[in-house]
Amino acid sequence: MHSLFPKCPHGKSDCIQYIAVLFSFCLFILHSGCIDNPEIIHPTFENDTIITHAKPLQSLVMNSTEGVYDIVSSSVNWGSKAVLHWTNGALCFYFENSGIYAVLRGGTVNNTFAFSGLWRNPLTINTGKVQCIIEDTTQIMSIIRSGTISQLTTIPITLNILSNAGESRQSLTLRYARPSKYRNENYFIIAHRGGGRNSDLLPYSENSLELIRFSQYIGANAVEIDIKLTSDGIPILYHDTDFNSRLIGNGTLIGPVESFSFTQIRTFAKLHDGSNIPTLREALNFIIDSTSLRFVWLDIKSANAMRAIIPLQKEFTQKAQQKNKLLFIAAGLATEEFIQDFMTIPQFSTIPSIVETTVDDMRKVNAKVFAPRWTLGTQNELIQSVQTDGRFAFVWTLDDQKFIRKFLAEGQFNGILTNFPSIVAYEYYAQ
Amino acid sequence: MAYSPISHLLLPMNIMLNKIVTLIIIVIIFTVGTLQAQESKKNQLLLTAAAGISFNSIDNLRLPDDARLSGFGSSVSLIWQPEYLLSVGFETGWLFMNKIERTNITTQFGSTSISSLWQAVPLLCIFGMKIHDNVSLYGGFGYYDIIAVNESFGTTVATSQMNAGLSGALDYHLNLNSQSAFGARFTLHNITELQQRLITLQFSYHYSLLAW
Repeated sequence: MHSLFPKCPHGKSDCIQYIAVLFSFCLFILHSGCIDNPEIIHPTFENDTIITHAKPLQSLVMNSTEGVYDIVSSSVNWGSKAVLHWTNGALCFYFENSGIYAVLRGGTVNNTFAFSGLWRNPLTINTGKVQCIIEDTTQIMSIIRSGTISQLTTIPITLNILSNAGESRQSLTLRYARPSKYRNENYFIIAHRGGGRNSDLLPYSENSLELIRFSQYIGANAVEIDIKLTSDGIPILYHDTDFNSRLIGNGTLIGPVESFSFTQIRTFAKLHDGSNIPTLREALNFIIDSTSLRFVWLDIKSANAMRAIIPLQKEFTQKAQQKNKLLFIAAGLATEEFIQDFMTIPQFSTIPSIVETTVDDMRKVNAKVFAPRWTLGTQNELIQSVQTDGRFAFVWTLDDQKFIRKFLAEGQFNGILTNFPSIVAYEYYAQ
Repeated sequence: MAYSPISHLLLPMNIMLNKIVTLIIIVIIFTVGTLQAQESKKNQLLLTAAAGISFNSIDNLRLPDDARLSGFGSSVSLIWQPEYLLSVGFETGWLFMNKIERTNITTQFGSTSISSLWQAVPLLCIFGMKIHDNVSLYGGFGYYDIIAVNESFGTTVATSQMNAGLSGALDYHLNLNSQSAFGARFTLHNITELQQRLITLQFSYHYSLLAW
């Protein structure tokens, strides 16, 4: 009988074909089971007595010890220099190689300086715990009190480095070399998406409150956050057009962010770290009350969000002023469409803004900041003309260490937007 | 060791490996598929309809424990079967993904009932190949339109989102006559962009619309 599916040939050569097809099918099954995302296990510090019991150091000690350090001996390949920087009481190191950073908490325990924290190579999944203990602090304190900071070069600081699994212990010894050349200048290291992207495998989700806090420790003194609008007009921190598995850790909502009300979003959508999607109001309150960040770049992701954002921008600029906090909040205008929409707002020229398109557009809206893409180069003449008007110029989004070094050495920008603030921090402070 | 230069390669290697595997699959299927079938010389246009159960087998979205992960899954495909081993066509359908129903839950905004339903409409280009008298393999790639309906706080929101994905199917069939066959099918849908995997177990019916 003639059939719909005719019989197969059964020659020897055909066997090879069938085996090949079956092999492909098996590969597909295996391939389907693979998840592309690399896993990272961040260290935890619940029972760390150093962090919980140490008393904070005096600000004199912190200010005196900031600077560039030589790595005099090391069993890890973190480069030959590091920058020591204090941020909100945290002891932060930024190393020469790949912007590896260490963030430690602690202070004085009896006559000892004791710190404990984490280290991370931001370009890989390598991370772990790190401790720094200086047994006898008498000599350090006498040098600091006498003001002869150069004598700090005689005191070694040793970091004990553990891999996250705790299976290996390494050490690294630093000696003070010189103060940070530019530490008092008004330069902005701006953390992209509140500190970095989810793909950078940071301990917190992008555009979350905890990541904004963390961004200070990894070198940022400013943040860029992404703003979308809910269906009932509440500005929230979210980057993508849709709710999706890249940003959302639970699966009740999918589709355009603007489709859902704030109530629905707050109830059903959690970021990957389990936290809520913050509103812009919550984020600006948090930045003022809980961080030392000095600049906020509001990257507006939908034109209809503009009118909801501007009143908040004004309100929180005033709130920061009332608290004597130096904080500059600017609305990002990334496209011609946004600029046209911005110009329909009454007294738009008095609203601090960032223009990413052209210098002409910048002057048209009286933007405080011009922010070109890094691929356009250093553009020194243009940037100088912007700055002579009393404006700032930032470059985005610069992540490669050799280009960061080039822009710092040859460029005239007032700040760099980056996914890796620790690389910019090392290159900037160690110049 | 706390630091290894090899670990610099971890991120790109993971992605590279997946690309290599995908490439191998495509090369093998195309190479083998262009070989001539030894018996069948005619062209056919096959319509296949399948219906059965769809399971959401990978859930990395941290759905609540009471979420329903299985439901009805159907598919329809139109396949051109030329004189070569490889056939090619288009597949669509309606696949259940997950459903959450809860009444009178307490939230910070008050009490509400919620209902959330996700379903997927595959829009795939598929390749088929007969590997035995009664067994065919299918592989597909394309997009899955994820359709979601969320009812909560007195509001219903229906949304949809396109996500890239792949499918692979094993079909066992018995010829009924020269124009139709009946069988069972196991299909794996990997919605890669959403990182979700659906498994369907279906009865299938094949019908020759056109032969020349």
